[in-house]
Amino acid sequence: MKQAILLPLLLLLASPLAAQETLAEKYDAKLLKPFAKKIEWQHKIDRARELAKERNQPVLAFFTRSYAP
Amino acid sequence: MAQVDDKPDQEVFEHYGLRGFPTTLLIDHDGSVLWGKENFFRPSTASALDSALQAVEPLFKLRRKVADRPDDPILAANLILLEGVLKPAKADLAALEAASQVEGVDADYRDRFQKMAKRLPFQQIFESYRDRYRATPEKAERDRLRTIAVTSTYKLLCKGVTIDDSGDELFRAYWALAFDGAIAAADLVRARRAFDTYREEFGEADRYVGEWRVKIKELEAKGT
Repeated sequence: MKQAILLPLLLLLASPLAAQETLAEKYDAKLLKPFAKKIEWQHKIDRARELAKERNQPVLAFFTRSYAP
Repeated sequence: MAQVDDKPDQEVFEHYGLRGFPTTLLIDHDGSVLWGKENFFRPSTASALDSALQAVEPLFKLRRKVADRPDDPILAANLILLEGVLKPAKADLAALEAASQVEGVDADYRDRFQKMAKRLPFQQIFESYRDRYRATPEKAERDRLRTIAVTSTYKLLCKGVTIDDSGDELFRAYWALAFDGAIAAADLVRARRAFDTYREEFGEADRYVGEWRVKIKELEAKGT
């Protein structure tokens, strides 16, 4: 039900200390987690806002990092 | 923040002044935060997410109704009021005031607008101060920003524009800045008022109360 009325946006922030390759791996691993796999996330805020306007929905923006839940 | 190529907009976190992970926001299509900015919001339970949705869903339902019936003045007024109370930073007070006068407008939306209008002057002062303060690491600039906020809040106090609801998230900030403004202006009457209002709510053990009492006594000693 919630999925139908929200436009989900997942924003994964990277640690400045880690190598780019490792960051990309962590990002991909995050998307494979059960909670992330259940939803078709958008990954660009501008695109999410465009779709939100078209669909008359709010954007649910989720900010996380590789070590966060 | 480091960038991961072709990955999400990582500057968005800073844009919204967020500080913790994970954090969730409900955002409108114009980028305005509808829910969750202060301080952060984690819908770790279904009921927490439902609460957030219940707060913002009427806006989207109302937009749909207005799209279906664009000539209905009551629906249009309701939408102006609800947009205003959910997005005060972009509020057009004149338009909101006019909408609140439309006969048949939703009484709850009108009440919420009237409460918002009362706190909006301080909200704009405080949010501008907070956002600019966070954006600069320089102490001199931060001090300058605080002086502006203190002076502006003291002017509101002099005009009788106050935050009286202790449940309001701006209550503490209002009276703290107003107190400093009254002290800077050597206005003992208003300094005492700010001190008493603050102490009554937060008690003797609050970190500011002892310090403020000293400032009051210093002002009294000067004979103002």
